[in-house]
Amino acid sequence: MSVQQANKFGFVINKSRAINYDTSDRKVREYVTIREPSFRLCFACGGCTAACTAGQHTSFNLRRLNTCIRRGEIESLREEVTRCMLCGKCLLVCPRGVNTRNVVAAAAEAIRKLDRNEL
Amino acid sequence: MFNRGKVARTDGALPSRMGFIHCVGSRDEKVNNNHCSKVCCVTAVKQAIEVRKALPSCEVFCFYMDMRMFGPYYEELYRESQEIHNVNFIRGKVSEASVNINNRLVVKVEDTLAGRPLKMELDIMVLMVGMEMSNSGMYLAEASGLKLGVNKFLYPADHHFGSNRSGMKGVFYAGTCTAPMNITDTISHSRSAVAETARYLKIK
Repeated sequence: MSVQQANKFGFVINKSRAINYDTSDRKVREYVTIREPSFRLCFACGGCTAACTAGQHTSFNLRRLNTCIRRGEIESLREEVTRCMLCGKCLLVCPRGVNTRNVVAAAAEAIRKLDRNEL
Repeated sequence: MFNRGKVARTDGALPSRMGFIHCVGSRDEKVNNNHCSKVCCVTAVKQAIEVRKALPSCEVFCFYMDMRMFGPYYEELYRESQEIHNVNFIRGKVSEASVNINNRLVVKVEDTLAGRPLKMELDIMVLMVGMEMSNSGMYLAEASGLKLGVNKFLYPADHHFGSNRSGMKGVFYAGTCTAPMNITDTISHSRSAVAETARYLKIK
């Protein structure tokens, strides 16, 4: 049965959800790491997410954003970075001393540059 | 590999990506070992740093379930591995490893922090195999009537106050026969075994 025929019967082919580390774009990660070297230190405790004001009212999750940067998940990142208000509360609770606010700012900047083909 | 002065694939090529798999054969009911082998986490981090120093162009990944940095300066080493040596950590247990058409290993893992499956190619996969009691040790225990714990290591008379005493007259335990231990702990345990034995002999 072809894909077109299958679609008629309500079957669809789902795109893989898996992160393919070999094909993912890690330019943003490199940019963020150079701009904010403390980014490497995140061990995903989630303190930032718990303290985040934006996270209380939206689905914004800084811990997940950090993982997205590391794995090169640009598309999920694009929307996420716009939700942060850069208040810096996350910075106060980070046990590893990551400059989280600068991480978000650098990621947003990297995405803008990426869209302008400057990265 | 480090003993021979270089790290290379079996075909002689230098690896560009290496993965350390934590908790292999430990904390795994499927292999009948529920215990944590304690020393592998820090060993993986230490080896990862060694690889990064020897081959700066090689990316290093640690696939872990929990990072258990229990000893003095171990947590600092973990931090150093991220901060200075740029070792990557992925939280998730590797479920599958196979060879692809490029003759590289492909590992599949759930990146539990991203909540999504992840796959990546590796040149070398290092298994951090957990400690377990040797067959001869188990045979010795069985033949001499010494008690084994659920982790199949020798079970001392008291884990807190008598970890060197076996519960059998004149038999004392020292080191990793009672549980996985690092070198520092093994030395301390052996010293206390000596003290315990000396006390026993004097009383006798």
